[in-house]
Amino acid sequence: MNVELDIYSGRPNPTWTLSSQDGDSFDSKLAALPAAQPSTLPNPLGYRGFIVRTRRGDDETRSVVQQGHVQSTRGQATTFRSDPDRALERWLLDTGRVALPPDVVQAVENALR
Amino acid sequence: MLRITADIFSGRPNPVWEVRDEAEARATLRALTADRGLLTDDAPVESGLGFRGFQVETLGDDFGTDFGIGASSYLAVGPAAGGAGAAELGQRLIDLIATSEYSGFTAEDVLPLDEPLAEFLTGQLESVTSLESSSHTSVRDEGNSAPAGDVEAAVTCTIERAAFNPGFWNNDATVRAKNNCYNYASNWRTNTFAQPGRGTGSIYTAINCAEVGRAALHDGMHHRFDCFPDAEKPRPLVALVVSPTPGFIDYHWYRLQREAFWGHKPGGTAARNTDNSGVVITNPETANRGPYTIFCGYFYGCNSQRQRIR
Repeated sequence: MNVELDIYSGRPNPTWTLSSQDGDSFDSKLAALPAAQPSTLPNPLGYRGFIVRTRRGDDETRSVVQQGHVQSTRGQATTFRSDPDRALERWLLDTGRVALPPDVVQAVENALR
Repeated sequence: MLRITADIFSGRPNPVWEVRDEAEARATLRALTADRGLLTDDAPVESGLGFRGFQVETLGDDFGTDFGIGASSYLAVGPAAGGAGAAELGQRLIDLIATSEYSGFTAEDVLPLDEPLAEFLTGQLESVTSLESSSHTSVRDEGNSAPAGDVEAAVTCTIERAAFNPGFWNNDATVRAKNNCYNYASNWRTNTFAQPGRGTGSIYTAINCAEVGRAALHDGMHHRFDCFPDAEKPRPLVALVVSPTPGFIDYHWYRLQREAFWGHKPGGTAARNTDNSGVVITNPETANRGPYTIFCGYFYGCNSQRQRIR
């Protein structure tokens, strides 16, 4: 399970791989999120959120976690959920603290306040 | 069989010529009706001044029905053209002047042109269409070159503004994810998340205006008002900005679109024409750019530059 910090425009975004345990935690947390109405993500310049890619065989699910919204796309189907208090977003940042430069972590923490 | 009027003048009468050879007329109508999207009943309302198009009239009631058109049809050229084939068809109509049985003007006592009619119309047609495809418009970019000593020189470069086409970048997930702001500004899809300078062996070594700009120039961009020749079309006007904020250090590019707003593509997200406030970008210098607070300046891309990016 691969996590991408969706933050840059020109430069490639930082990525890291979740441990097996963290991968299972993500699946559980995602499944527990309440359903939400379809919406369009703002996708601004600057910090946007996280993109989590889960691959099972030939299937890939891409979950975009952004500003209290989660959109998971598998094939042509997209599931919309809400992320109250941006908890899943904060948890994903925690999984990247080792992989990310400290100033990037600080910048994202500031954005999550 | 056919009367063709070039809808070009405003004050003086328009040129007109008649094709009396039936075979020639049929071949012309066949070509005109091959793409129905190019023909209208009348001139478009927004045609404006200059070469607007051709009115094509059939001279017998048995003629147009074979091709499903009425007594009069209109082929718009230039900005109001219905498609990319309009210019070629327009030139075909002009070429018929040589074999028409009558050519002149829609009124008598008209001052003669300074050159043969066909030559004149061909030149006018080229001026409204040869620099303009269905996808981009050539415009003049006027300003001053960098001052040399105490003197600034007035400069006019020709640039191309492509129509805003976000679907090209957004509709396919792979294209969207693997092409960034530099791909968008250069208008070239590499699926490599292109970086300034990487394609020419001199990727930027720091993220600031000077170094990212240098790398883009190494790829073949020019500073604004350092003109590219026509052979390098399309030549988009682009803008470079930088985010100096620790943790957010990055660059971003914008590209001027045909519709006179600026498009951009924040990384792997969707191409758009709005800023962080959701406002259509008419000026990248004053748009809400989030953390990209440093406006570096404007550059021109060009056809050879965009093919070098990686």
